[in-house]
Amino acid sequence: MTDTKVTISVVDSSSSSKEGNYDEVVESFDDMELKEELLRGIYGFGFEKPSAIQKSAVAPCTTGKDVTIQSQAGSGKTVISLIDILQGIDCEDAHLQVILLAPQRGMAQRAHEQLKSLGRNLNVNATCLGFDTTAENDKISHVLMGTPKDFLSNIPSDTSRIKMFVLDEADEMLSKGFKDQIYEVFRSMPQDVQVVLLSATMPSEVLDVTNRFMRDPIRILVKKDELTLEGIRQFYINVQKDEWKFNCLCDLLKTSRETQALIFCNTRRRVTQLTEQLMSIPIKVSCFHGNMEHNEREDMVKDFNSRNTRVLVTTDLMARGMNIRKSLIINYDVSGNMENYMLRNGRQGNFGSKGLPISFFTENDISDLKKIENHYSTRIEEMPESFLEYLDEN
Amino acid sequence: MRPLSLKGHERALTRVRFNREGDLTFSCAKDKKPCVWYTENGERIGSYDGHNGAVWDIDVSWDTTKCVTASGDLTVKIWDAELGNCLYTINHQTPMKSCGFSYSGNLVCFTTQKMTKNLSTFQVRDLRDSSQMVEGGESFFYSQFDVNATTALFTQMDDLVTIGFESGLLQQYDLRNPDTPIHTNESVHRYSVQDLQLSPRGDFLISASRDKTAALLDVNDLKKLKQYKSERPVNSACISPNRDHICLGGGEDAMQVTQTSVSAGHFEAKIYHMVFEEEFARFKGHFGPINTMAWHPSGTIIATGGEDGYIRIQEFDEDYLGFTYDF
Repeated sequence: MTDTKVTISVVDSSSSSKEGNYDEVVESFDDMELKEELLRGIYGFGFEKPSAIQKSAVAPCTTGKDVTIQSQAGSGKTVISLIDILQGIDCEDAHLQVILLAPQRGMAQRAHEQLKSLGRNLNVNATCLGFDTTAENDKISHVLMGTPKDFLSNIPSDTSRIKMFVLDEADEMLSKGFKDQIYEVFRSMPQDVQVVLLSATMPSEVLDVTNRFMRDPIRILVKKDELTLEGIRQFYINVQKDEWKFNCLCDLLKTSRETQALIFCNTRRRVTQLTEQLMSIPIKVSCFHGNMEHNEREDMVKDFNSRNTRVLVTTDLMARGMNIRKSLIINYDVSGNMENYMLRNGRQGNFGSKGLPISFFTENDISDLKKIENHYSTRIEEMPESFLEYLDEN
Repeated sequence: MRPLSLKGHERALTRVRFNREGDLTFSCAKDKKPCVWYTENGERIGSYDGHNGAVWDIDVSWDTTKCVTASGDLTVKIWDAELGNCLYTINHQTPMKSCGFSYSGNLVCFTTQKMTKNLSTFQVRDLRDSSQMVEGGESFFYSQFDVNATTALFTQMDDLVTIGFESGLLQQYDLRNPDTPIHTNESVHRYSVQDLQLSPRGDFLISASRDKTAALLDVNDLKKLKQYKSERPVNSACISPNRDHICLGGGEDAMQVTQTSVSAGHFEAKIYHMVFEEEFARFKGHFGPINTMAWHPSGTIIATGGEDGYIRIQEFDEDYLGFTYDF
């Protein structure tokens, strides 16, 4: 493959790439012209109607063109890529045809399981790297799934027939610094490979990838007015100094009695520090940290969702892809990233419940308050004494 | 007793039902394993293994010897309720959506989904006729529709059935005269009928619809008697066995919720007065839409199944027992 460097004006690419260029919609799976065996797999899995993003994105992916898809967490993005993988694959061709990269092994494994369910009626072989693959080594896999790191540790011998490259949760992968590894994976593939990129947010790193890896992609992006905080009451507390946050948090947890609290910090170190402080009170705490396996995190979410623990301390990255019950949402650290504010405090698609967000601002970041309000045309009020009555206890 | 929260399903619930005595609770979900539980303490007795896709409906015969399940894996299965082995499998070309036993327990009805060129169907098979219960067997009652039949149940002994459709249409058929529906109601609901349940004494039907209402219908002619308005699509509704109360539950579709501008989750189950059509109580518990519910024959317990994968068994307190509606 020719490694051609193309310089594109950042302003131009940024403005044009931030808007979608495709708005056709297909209302039902039946009308998407999918293989009948795949249709039976879709209905058998329990899908009846496509979600909004699936109506927009499945059909263009089957055209073989590069596609960028943005949609909120829990709206069914990964399934889009799985349907298109199964639609595009030639099950009788015993070659590797598709690579799917995910930021975490747990996500790759989940995608693998869903692919097997959806493809039950097709003779498709799929392998998830990093898990026990000895049983499947005797068969050539049509689809390989894994993290960029796992992939580079197990580069397949023949990549000449790969026709589809899927980047799932691309914003999370890129924020973890996988960019060069992704590029290395990409270079091992034929030049005409189709690239499908799925992401909940569109930060500049994702835009860089779309410019470098994709040719004239179909862009299916969330319109700004669909990213809604409408109907969600949002409060802030001016704690003035960072070192006063913990006392403020204790008061808040005391006042809200047994209400469950989801607490966001900006870094893992802050998560660890805050968890230790809370456990010395003591309060039953779940927390995520970087060394934790995906399965362990899921167990913690189950504990929290079942009310076995009252507080869950996490970062934006660690909470990604989890279906976490939202009651009280405390932004212990204010995220500088505008999209993360939405992901933390907005509705989560899988369950639709909403929480009551309370953000701790200090003198240093009080100006972010106005930025967020302007960006989302929303209002963040100072927290009243009677804030508990706004809690939609569910 | 405090509400029981039953966790055994890995995916969203699709149906909860009590057996006739109420000591057992049957459930199915979008995972592959229908379950049966003790109602008293929420202990799971076991599961029915054999389906290969989402299970959309489960019903249990009056004597709790058999249960029937409808699945997206294109089959309906009849099980020995006690031992858990599969007695019969009915195959079709498209996913099965709902199923139910007749009053005697000898007949099984089911609906199938429309898919590509295959129309939606409603069918009935007689378990006593072995030619109907083998592979390739044919149903003695078979009706085709170009709009999805979403739910169906026997509404009078072994003779009358009522079907709810995705368009909101309701139709009643007499199995003895299979050509045309004997009653139709196309005005009560504007959107998909999600659930139909019979009142325990058999004189009323309650229909739950995505048009945000549930309706009380005369079982003899499908005429609307009462209608209960909610703020959200209604996925399921049920009728108290011993008081003039109904209960409904629902919520926005999980995947659509990020695109609505609604201001609250509204995942409570709501109790209305049957006659005065007014909500007077509600109870919380699920952190997602309620997909299914059933009223226990004692009248003091309601089971709900949610998108969150939990079954909640809610027992009412003394205040409910002593409550009289002020009119």
